[in-house]
Amino acid sequence: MTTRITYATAAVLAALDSNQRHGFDIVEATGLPGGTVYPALRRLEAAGLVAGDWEDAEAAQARRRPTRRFYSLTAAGDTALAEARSRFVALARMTPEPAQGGSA
Amino acid sequence: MKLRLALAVVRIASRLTPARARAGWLREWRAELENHVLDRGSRARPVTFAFAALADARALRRLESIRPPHELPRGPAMFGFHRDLRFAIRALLKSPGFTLAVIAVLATGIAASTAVFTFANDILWRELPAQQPDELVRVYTGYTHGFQWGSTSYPVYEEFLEMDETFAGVIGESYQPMGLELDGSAHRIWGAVVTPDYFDFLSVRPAQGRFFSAAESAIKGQAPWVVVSERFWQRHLGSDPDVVGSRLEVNGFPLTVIGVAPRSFLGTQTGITPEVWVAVTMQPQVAPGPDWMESRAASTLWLIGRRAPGVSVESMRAALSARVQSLKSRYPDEHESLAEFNVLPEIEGGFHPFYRAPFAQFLGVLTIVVGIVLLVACSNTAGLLIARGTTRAREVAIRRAVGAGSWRVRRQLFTENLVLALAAGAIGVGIAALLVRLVSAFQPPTDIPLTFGFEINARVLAFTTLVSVATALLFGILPALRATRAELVDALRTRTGDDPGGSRMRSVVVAGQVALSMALLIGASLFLRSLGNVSDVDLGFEPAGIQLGSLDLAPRAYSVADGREFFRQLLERLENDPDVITAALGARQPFNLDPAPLRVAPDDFVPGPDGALPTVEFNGVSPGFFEVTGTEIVAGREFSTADGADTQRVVIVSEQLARNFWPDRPAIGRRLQISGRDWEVVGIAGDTKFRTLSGDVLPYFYVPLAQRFEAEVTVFARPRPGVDLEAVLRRHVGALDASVPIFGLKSLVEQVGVAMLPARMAAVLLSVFGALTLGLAAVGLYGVLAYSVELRRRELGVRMALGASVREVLGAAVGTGARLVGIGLAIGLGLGFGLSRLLAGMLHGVSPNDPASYIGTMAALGAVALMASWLPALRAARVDPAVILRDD
Repeated sequence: MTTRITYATAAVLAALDSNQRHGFDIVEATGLPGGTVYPALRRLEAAGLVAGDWEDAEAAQARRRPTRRFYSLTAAGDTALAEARSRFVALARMTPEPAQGGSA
Repeated sequence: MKLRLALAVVRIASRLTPARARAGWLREWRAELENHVLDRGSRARPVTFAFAALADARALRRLESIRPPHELPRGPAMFGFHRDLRFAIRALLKSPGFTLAVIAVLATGIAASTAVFTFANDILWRELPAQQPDELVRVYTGYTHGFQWGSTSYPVYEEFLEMDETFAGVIGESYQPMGLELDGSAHRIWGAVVTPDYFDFLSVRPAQGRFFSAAESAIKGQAPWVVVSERFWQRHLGSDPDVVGSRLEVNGFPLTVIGVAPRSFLGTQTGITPEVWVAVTMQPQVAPGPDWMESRAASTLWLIGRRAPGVSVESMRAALSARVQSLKSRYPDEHESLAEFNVLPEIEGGFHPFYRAPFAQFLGVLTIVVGIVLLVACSNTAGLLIARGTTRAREVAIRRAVGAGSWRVRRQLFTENLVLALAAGAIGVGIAALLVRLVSAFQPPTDIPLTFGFEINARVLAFTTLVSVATALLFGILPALRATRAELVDALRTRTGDDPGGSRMRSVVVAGQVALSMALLIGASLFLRSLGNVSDVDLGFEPAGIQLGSLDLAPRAYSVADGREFFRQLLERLENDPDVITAALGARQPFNLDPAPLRVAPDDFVPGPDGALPTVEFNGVSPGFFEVTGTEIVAGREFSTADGADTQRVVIVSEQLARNFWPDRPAIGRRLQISGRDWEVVGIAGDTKFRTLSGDVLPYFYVPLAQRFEAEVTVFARPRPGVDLEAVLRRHVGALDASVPIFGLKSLVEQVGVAMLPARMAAVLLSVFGALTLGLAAVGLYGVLAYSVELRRRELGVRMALGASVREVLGAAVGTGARLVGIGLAIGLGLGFGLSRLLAGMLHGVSPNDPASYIGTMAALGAVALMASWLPALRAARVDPAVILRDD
């Protein structure tokens, strides 16, 4: 299944690339409404550009947070993002630089 | 508190998600909400954030719903079909105009293809009633001179009967004209002379009485019986219930009716159904000539064989080719020209191969034409559906918003298409039945009456159903895909998107249809105008008031001298009859369908490099022929009773023949070589038309019947007004020999009408197809325009809001149509010019450039096109700017 890469979708991909891995984090990072980000994630996952997984339960407990689902780019997702960056030149300016170190 | 409310929203949203994914999805959203609250603290707005879950759930549902159908649960899908069907019928009844248009367009295409399939089904794939028809073969005799599909003599048939390792059975059949005495006068009919086990072999059961059996008719002359067809029994024997046992005189020989063959039995040859059957043992009585049962030269029987158990067609061929050698060595003279026996399985050889090929070709062309009509019908229907889909987008969007998956919506749309196609199929079968009946009733002016068994049977119905379903798929897929691809929110706002392509293609198709119907209608109009001019054509003779009636002495085996005497006495009687003004005999009628030219040469003829002599058509006539028919004698004299069998052979040539052979010398007194003999030219007749009404004048000549005898002649008589020639002929022929059949009664005007047959058929075909394409083009045009207006609603609304008048908006809509029609008409004009060049030879009294035809056709097409554009244009004009702007 293929999915259309809109500007919003590309922004979600870019956010994932800069290690914003949770849905809510992406909302914060991109400034897009949740009603756009979550469906986009859903579509990207169905298209195989993004892979979703549950984070480690112990690690979450250690940080006293509920276990969350996190998302990461697949190889196809990397390609799609590279292609999207060439199309949306503004994308680089509007998304944050990759965060230093691990997950937020 | 707020978190709890947000969680409630998420739980409600979760109802939208597929059940399988629901638990995981809920867990994810719970975690997201809690994190949201943890991260933002007092700035958190969990309830607002929870609404994102609604969009997410919907996205998930949509992703699930476009999974391939095999992953969908089975039961409910089938379960829903009834609901789909009911909904489809309701939806279609809601827009009756659209429904009727689609059904009419599709029914046209389906009717045409069903009719063509019915013809092919009977002509190419007819089955004999015999058991295991796949074991049957046809055996044709091939000759050294090249003809491969000849009939076979009785002695050879007998040899085949004895080859019981090859044949499990063989029958033979021959068609013969027979003189039949009914109510005291003779009629000519076509009967079959058959081998004794004919009916048993074919497993035909008598409708009444019995058939002859092999044992009874083994001895020559000992089976004086006749079987009649049910149709003959009804038409000529008054459906007499006691017909079995009654007597029938065939060629003057009394036969006893022993049975009636059922109406369903059409004989073994496609197109010809015998009216009576007589056993071959009676052949010398009913079909004069050499004794078939003795003569190896009399190749008269068409053979049907049954393969012996376990024998293939190939091994039959091998066995028969060995038999060819044996026959040639045993009877070197009789079978000198025998080359081979050709064995074909019944399915290939049942329809005589000589005719099968051109018929198959003709049907192939028809199939292509009909296929194009069907495709165009599909394309136009797709156009209508897309136009309707645009207006229905809102309905589809609502259904999807309340949870219908796009597959579900597509299935619903397909159900509607199927209902449309099947309704069209049912109507199409009805129209096809009418067409088939019309074609069956058409009797070409041939001597042998043609009968076909065209019927709408189970195979035809299966074909039509298949075509209908295929049609529904073909015209429905594109519109269904488009209907479900539309963006939900856009559709709900009733804002129609841009034209995503496809309508350009349809515009091309529509312009093509306009062009095609223009060309066809120009042709039809030229033909119709030329048919109106027929009475003005100078034929070279005066057909008005002349009646024709034919006689055939051949079945009665007259000698040439007796035949000559018969005709002399008949003419004498007719001349003395007060009911007849004038009468003469002619061997041939003008515009007959079987030209019989002879090789001729003038006395000083110098053959060309190939040594070939010219062939010229002619007529054998009695004295008085020229006077009766009003053919002018330009020079010399007419034939007289003095031109007899023993006097100098004389000939009258047409002006054209005289011009061809003796361009600068008088023709009278010169000699003409006809079939190697010398004939003296005694007269020159005016040129006449005898093949076509237009085209070049062809040479022709006349010889006295008394000097060149023919057994079959036509009486050309000018009876007094109100006198029926048939009664007169029956009276005089009956007095001379009541068993001589009289047939082919008609007026000379009717016979001349035969010349118009090609033009008339062309006119009918062109008119029908022209009207058909015109109807299709109108619907196609409507579809494209309705769609374009729908797409431009917003633009038109804005224009009107900015002060454009209704007139301007109408003009904008009609302009699109006018451009399409204009292009179509221009191309059609060119095509029409080309077509009329091809048809020029069949036209008379009208130029292929006849301006009235062109202008008339253009005007008619333009008017229809305008009507087709009017409805969409009106819709455009009704656009309410307030509504449009509010929707945005």
